Amino acid sequence: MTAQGTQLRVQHCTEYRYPLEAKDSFNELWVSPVDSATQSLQAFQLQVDPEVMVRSRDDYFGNRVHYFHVATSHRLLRIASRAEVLTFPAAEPRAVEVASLEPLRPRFFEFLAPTRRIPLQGDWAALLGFPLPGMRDDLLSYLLAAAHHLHARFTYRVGATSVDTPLQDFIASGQGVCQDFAQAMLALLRQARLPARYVSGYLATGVGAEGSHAWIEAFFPGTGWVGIDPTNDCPAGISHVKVAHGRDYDDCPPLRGVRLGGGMEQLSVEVRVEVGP
Amino acid sequence: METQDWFGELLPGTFDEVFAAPGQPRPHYRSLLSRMTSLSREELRARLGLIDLAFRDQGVTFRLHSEEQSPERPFPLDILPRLIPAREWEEVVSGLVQRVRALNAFLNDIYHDQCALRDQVVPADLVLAHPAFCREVAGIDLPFGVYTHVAGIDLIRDASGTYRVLEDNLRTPSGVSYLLANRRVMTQAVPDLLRGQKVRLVEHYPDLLLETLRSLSPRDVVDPTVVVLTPGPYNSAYFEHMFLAQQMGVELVEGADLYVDGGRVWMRSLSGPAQVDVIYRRIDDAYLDPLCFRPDSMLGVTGLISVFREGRVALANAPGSGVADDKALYAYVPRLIRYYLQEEPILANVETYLGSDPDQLEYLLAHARELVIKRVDQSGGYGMLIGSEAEPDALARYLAEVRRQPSCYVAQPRMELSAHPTYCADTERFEPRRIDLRPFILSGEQIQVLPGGLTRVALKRGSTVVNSSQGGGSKDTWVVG
Repeated sequence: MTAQGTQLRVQHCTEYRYPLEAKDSFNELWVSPVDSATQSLQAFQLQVDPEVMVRSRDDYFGNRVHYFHVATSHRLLRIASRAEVLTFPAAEPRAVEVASLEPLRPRFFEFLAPTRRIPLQGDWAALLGFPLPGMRDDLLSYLLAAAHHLHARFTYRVGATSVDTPLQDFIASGQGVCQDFAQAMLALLRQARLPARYVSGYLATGVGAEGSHAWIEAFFPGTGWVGIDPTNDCPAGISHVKVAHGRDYDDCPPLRGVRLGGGMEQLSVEVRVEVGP
Repeated sequence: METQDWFGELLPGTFDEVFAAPGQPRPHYRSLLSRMTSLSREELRARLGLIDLAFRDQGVTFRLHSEEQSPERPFPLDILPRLIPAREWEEVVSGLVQRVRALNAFLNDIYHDQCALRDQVVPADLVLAHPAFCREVAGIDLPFGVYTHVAGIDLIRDASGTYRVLEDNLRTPSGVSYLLANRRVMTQAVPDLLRGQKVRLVEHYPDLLLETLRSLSPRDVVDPTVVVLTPGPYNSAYFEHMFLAQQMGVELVEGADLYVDGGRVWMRSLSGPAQVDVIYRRIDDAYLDPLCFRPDSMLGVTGLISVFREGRVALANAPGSGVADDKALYAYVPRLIRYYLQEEPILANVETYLGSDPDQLEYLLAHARELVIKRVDQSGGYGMLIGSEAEPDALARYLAEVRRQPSCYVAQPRMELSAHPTYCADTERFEPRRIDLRPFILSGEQIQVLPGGLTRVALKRGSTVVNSSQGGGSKDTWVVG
């Protein structure tokens, strides 16, 4: 880490191979790192094979979405992105009590409301074995303690869950991936009426580095959104590369698509995050 | 006197459209009634026969969801039209225009800056947690800031004769084809009744609709391509989709007839692909584009929303309009009119109790017998309970559901809808039947209201349910004078 920031290079390659001809493939991607005070996007390239025109827009939550359409017949769809970012350590959030969020809740309705993946039925705090905060509790201490608890309570295991595993099943089995850790923490925070959002991105080192990563952000009056990574039991830092945020995974999946034909696809995803020039 | 013999007794506590008192027709009905009552029984029967014949000839049908066998049935048209004096109608029109302006301003706001939510004019959850709130179309600037290009606003008249809005229909309101067919049938079958009444025309609706749709075209061309997108023949309003396409002289298409390529929408045709500029879509948001909404949809066009977002195709009505016709949001419309237009509402609402509000919920549960309770997410008379008519155990079961999901319900006092003498074949007399009115409002650069609207009639004696999906009939509606 230097005053000049930490340089990270991300390569993300997704390949679909189809046994039959596929065509009319429409796709949306949330893969471009954000450009912010703690993360400077230096370069971004996106390559799609077959070669097509790629367009981009900002979605409802302000995330950059790239999208394209492959009209012609194809047996292989390859999407490769390369990004260079400089990350800077975030300042310690200003100490606030949980109670300070009270008057702000109407502004953060969407990050408090239940979603399809994180329904607010049932007592998540009890299921997760972690108490809801008191009004006088320090917000950051509570969040770090919650992340620490989830880290200790659950085992990180690749393949233990799939994209569509319900939260209840993750809690029951006790093992899953970063997306499950993040959604479990969101369930707890939303039950506690603390505005919190899902973050998708990449991680340079540590657990979860073999693929895309996910963590959460909670709102701090006077500071803004602060990232916490329950999978790694730490605040989001210079090794985290943020791509997008939303209410849950569905608002910013790395890739979403619809196509005609193709048969049973074969998917391979490769993500590499390198530190240094 | 003959008149007395033809007309049944007036309903107590109800505004009668025709009679101010027994035997005393209101002024605007006098000449029509004197013509009607000068007919002999045989002459009347002959005219009824002609209406029936003309109606079958038109092939106007409405498909009921519950009817499995022979689903097409005629939409019964009464011989006695409903009349609205021009001066009264102008007042209604200004109220409708005001309401639609406010609703479009609201839609434009919630898909941009959300000022109404910040200023707490409307509770955020009513919008942001609504299944019809469409984040995929947020931030798009639509022509004239209009989202709901074709609106159907249901009006009733209370016991004092005051017009009140019962419901806003801003997604894909249907019924205009029945209105047009009614007028055509009347003109063919009973031209003698229309003569000399100075009835405002409705026949130009397809022209107005086409003009409105064309004004949305993103391409500045003389003859933009407009299509009507239907879910297909199994939809209850398929007849209308076909009818409007035919009358406008544009193609009726299903999802499979359209495709997206090169960031534009194209229509397959024998003479090669044609670029589509405006889609008058009569399919629900959820089925429009499998990429954005339901991935299993077979009715829509993949990639359509991205073309819409880039402004290379217009959709009427715009996706996401349904947030503003929610039965709970309805209660806030008068506030929206004041907020966006700085005007007092011209048309009154029906008093509404919201299940989401604890005090109002308590009232709702305590006074269920006097109320009509509706699910906010259903329409067409489905999921509705009339407290005074419900069996005790049905009421108890319904209220248990209300307690389980209170925010899904709203309640209104039972309205004594106005009544109109309507011909009853069994008694061969005109007996009072409850009616409502669905005017159609077109919004583009300007707002235009078709004179009159579809008057729906509750055909069963004593019934207040006028929805065509619940077996109602209709009347031709004449704005006169």
